[in-house]
Amino acid sequence: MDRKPSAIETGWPEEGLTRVPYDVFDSGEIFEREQERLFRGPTWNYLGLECEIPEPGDYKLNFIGTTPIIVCRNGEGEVRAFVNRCTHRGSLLCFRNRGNEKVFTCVYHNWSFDLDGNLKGIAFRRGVNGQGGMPKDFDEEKHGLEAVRVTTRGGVVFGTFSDDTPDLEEYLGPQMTGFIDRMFNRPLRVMGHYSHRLRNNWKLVMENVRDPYHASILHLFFGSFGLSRHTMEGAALLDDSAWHHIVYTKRATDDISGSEYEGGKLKSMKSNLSLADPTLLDEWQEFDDGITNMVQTVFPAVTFQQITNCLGVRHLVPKGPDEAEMIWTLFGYEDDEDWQREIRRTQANLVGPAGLISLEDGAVTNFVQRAIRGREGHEASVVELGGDAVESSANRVTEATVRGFWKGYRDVMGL
Amino acid sequence: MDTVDIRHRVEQLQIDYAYCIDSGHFEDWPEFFTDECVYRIISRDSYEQGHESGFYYCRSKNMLRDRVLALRETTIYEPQRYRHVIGGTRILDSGDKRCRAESNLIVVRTLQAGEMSIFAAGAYLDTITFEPETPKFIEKVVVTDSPQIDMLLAGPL
Repeated sequence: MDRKPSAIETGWPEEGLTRVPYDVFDSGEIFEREQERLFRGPTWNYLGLECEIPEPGDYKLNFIGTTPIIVCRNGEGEVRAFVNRCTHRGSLLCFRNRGNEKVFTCVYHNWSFDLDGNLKGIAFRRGVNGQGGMPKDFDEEKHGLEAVRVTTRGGVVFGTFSDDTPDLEEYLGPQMTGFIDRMFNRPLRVMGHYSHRLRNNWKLVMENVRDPYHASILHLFFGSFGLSRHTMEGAALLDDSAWHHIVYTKRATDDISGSEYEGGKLKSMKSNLSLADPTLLDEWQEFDDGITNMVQTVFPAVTFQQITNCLGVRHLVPKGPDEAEMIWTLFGYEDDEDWQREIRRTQANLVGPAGLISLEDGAVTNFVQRAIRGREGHEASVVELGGDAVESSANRVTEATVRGFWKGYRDVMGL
Repeated sequence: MDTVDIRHRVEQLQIDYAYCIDSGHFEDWPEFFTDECVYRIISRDSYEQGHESGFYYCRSKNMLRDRVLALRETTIYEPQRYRHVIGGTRILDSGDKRCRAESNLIVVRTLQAGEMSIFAAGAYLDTITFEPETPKFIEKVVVTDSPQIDMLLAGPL
């Protein structure tokens, strides 16, 4: 079969950020370039929450792109991260998702590494009876684990492979950093953890997460029960680089008369519905700013969400050109009272692969993946709502936040 | 009731329950529960860590009804079918009025194009009341062996 040249060779469509070539969603060549330039490039990638590794020696596993990562706390209580690959023959060093170790010992040949990634032991280093073993001049210091540069903010751990990545605060800009501080303002407590396998390219998920246009249209539950409508007060924000975004709404600030939501004009509005147990939507005002729904992405692949009182992290891990895994961590705060915990867990019904307002996302991103097959030429999607602007607006009938993702993508990928 | 009778009633309940979901009669699904009930779907890993949040959490029959309302009115997904296989039921703490039971569970999901997969494997941790006459679930915790859901989890397990 003839291989069609991808956007790497043909270039990005001349319209710019309002068009996204479908190649980027299924080309193996582009997928490989992403690993090198994006995930190993000048980006901060989500690694976990500090509360998941509270004690020295605690570790958890994660990924940056496709690269397996160990995140741990060393003897001094500092967070460290390494590639989860023994420097001897490349085996996974840790294969349990979490645990506590004083040293990481590879099961294959017992090479061992301390919590700072230094190579500390080699089985039969000196051979047996003077025979065999490693050469005398073998330099252990040069064979430590590949380290990932780590930073934390508010108990959130990020890692980068690149020395060129600016400090997190500079990377995010003041407004995005402020929203991190808003949600991660005191010690956290994990309330749930699960994974969502998506049969589509990871970027379709990032587009979806950054797309306020679809929220009240595709997710009928959202509009029908008044959780979020375009008529509510809110904003679609981008930082100066446009790599990162926030969309938020303030519930109970709208009047739908005269809008497409009125009188059932929009299929997504079923205003005749009512819940048999309205306590499903019990809530309390958690933040002084009155924001009830907030979705924030940190480029490239993590989302922080507040759906009223359901707080969570969605970390996207690419698995191949047409497959991805979204790893969810739902959390509250250590000082939550029982009634608050109960409200958070009840609202968790809204999110995730079974979520009343998010279940459709797993379907629709897969619909795109299936529909772009068999295309003839270099077709592209249209991302033109709100024109070609790549800037913040109070209006959420815009795809500026999606274009911002593609700006970051093109900046880093050289496309 | 003797143990044979209890086992018979629990197994019949499981059979009827599976038939209800597999045949798509979601409106009847809440009727397998008492008015005050708990229904959860949670991964084994999360369950063992004592996490509160999983895939589903309903704490009243009306919340089950609201799930059905959402499935019928607001949820969008491709046509698909579940096929439950329930077995290996162990009866625990049985009495005349209630019992606890744990059963194995496999659900095959078939998508409209014909693709079939083992969508879920795990256990039902049930608390069942025999009062009034028809046995009902007071609590049903669906513990899935995998922490992962493929694409979406729409209908209940």
